[in-house]
Amino acid sequence: MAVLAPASGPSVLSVRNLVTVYPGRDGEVVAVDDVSFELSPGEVLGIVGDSGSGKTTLARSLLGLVSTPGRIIGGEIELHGRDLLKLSHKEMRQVRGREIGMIFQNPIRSFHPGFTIGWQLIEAATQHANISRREATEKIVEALTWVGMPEPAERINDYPHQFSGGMLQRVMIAMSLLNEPAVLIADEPTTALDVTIQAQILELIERLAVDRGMGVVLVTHNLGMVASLCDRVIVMYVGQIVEEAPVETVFRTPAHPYARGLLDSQPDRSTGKRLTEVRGASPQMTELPSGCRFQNRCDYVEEKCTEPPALADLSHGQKVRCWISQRHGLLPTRLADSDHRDRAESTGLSGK
Amino acid sequence: MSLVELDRVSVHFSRGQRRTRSDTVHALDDVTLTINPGEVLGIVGESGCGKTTLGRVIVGLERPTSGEVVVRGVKRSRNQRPGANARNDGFQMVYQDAAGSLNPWKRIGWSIGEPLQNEGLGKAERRRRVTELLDQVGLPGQMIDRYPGELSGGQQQRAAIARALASKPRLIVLDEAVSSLDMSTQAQVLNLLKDLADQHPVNYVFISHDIAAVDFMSDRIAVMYLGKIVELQNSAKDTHPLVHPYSITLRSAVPVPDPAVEKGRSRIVLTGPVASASDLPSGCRFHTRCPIAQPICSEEEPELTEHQLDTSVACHFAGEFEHLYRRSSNSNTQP
Ligand SMILES: Nc1ncnc2c1ncn2[C@@H]1O[C@H](COP(=O)(O)OP(=O)(O)OP(=O)(O)O)[C@@H](O)[C@H]1O
Ligand SMILES: Nc1ncnc2c1ncn2[C@@H]1O[C@H](COP(=O)(O)OP(=O)(O)O)[C@@H](O)[C@H]1O
Ligand code: SF4
Ligand code: SF4
Ligand SMILES: [Mg+2]
Ligand SMILES: [Mg+2]
Repeated sequence: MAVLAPASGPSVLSVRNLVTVYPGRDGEVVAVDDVSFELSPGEVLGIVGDSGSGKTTLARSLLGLVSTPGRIIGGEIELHGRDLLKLSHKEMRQVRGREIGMIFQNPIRSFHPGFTIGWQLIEAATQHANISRREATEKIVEALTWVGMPEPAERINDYPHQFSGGMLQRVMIAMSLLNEPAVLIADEPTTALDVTIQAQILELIERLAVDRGMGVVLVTHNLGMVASLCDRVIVMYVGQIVEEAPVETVFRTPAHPYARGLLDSQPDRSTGKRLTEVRGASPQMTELPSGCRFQNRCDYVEEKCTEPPALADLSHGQKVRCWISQRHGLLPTRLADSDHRDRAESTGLSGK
Repeated sequence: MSLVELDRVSVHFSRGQRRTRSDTVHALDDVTLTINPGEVLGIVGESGCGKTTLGRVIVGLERPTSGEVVVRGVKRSRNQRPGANARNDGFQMVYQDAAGSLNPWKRIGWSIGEPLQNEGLGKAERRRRVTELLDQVGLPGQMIDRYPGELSGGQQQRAAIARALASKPRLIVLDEAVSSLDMSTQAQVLNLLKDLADQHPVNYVFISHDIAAVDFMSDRIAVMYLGKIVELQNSAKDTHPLVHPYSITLRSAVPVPDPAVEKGRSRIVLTGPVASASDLPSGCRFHTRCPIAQPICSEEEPELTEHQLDTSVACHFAGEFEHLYRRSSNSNTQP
């Protein structure tokens, strides 16, 4: 189990030892494996990791929206000290509308094509608060203005397909803001958008955190976005947190070999002709190796790595799941790369 | 001799029956461009600006509405079926959605070997070639008998590249070919493309909205906006910074993976609405969003002209971004 430092400061959201599984033909997939973290008000927490590492499952678990047949089988999710996993479906729906906002990658899918944006927003607003439709409309126009929608009073009569992706994403953010939630969960909110629009959404999320003190959990593939927006980062690998640290720390001194590999592989950071790459591929969640899950791709692998490392504190709020950096207090600079590769190959641990 | 030359190429699509002005989509307008042998040309721009259409014209899958395409000195015939052009010229295209180019009901080996069907190879010989191709793109040999659904996204993209390589093409247009891959797979596939270009005489046209990836891959860069090339840089990116106001904004919009840089900088955020390719703004197409637009910009369309050695720009105020931007942001804060 994870070795955790006591939380500092009051959190809006505390997640402890969360486990979410998908039963399947080839056995059970533990998509979120013993995940714990704290989120403070006004803090933006980034979650990064390869495809299939469990980011979306984690985000959806927080909302009580894990897609079937998945289910949460353990842990606690506390919002303002109340355990969300003990709530009924109905209570959870209230929490989603009022206390936790959410935005997903594909805004178009979150709206019904047959109704105007205004109608759908009014439904959302009146469902959770005891207000008239007129009051709701005023609130909506205000929220749309705030997210930078031009001519909001007119646009609310338009249908979803009449908006561009960027505009729809703003509508979705506006919708999630109607009830001033304490926490916003955003799963790849800009992946489908152009970079110029992405920059606008980025500023918007920043304003939400800074001006309104909203805690934000931001799932993204984009390390640039993490660098510009996040205060803290969680790196996931095959269902587990492998590193967690303040953003400057992760970018300056990543402690997990996977985190370092990701950073080094960024085109902007590479000077040479080739990119540094994390070779190989993630293991299937149904065929996990015993020991460290990163061992088939790791340049540092040693005998000890056939035992599973725990997530443990280094210093300055940095946590890592790696024997080597735990032993040294940091990840040593790479030995000559070829040395490592030879060693990895001779132990039969190297992946292709 | 240049490999491909486009001379004032336009591609217009008409939607619906009535050919009113707004029914015509100007996917590409008056594009003049040369691709030299051995070079990687990068194309960046927002979605809908015409990148895919330009790629399809180069490969020969799309016939220009007007203008000429010259391949190795020979004008492309207007009478050929588009697909036949691509085959004759030995050009290939790889799309973002790799799965789309692999038949889901056939084994990977079949899909990769399909372009070899007309080469009169025996069955064993073809299988040998496919195994070779798998090896080239870093896929284990057993993948030959797998179905696309059994491969990860990155492996599917590798298989699509192997298929494109099968006919030994002279040019491959890579249209957002790594955009859907996750972080660690993107680096692997970009490296693979570089390695392949080192081993074979193949040209790439690398299309992406990710300016960092384009910088890394390309020898030259074309920046597109609403069907036009607004900037063409004929040299390595380090020697000249981008000049066109749109290019500058584009680069400024992309956050770089370095918190120290990000926390300290301000971003130029475009405010105006994205214009549409069927209802083009007058004058300079970027004037509705340009942070330094002047009165003349909505009246006269700027031509792509040489701004300095190796850099062509279509802007009335090329090279004046900084002081005009400072002036306009000052006047905004004190009206
Ligand atoms: N509905 C489902 N049924 C069964 N397995 C699922 C389901 N959804 C996800 N999984 C599995 O759970 C694991 C985590 O998936 P998840 O979607 O959370 O990953 P992710 O990190 O969000 O990936 P991406 O970056 O591609 O969005 C994967 O192994 C995936 O195959
Ligand atoms: N076959 C087509 N029929 C009608 N319009 C098209 C067609 N292909 C592309 N377009 C339009 O042409 C413009 C440019 O598209 P495209 O080349 O796909 O841009 P990009 O690849 O940069 O996103 C867009 O407005 C698009 O909707
Ligand atoms: S525990 Fe071993 S295999 Fe795992 S990341 Fe650390 S060094 Fe690599
Ligand atoms: S011509 Fe005018 S509007 Fe167009 S890019 Fe240059 S300054 Fe901006
Ligand atoms: Mg996901
Ligand atoms: Mg395209």
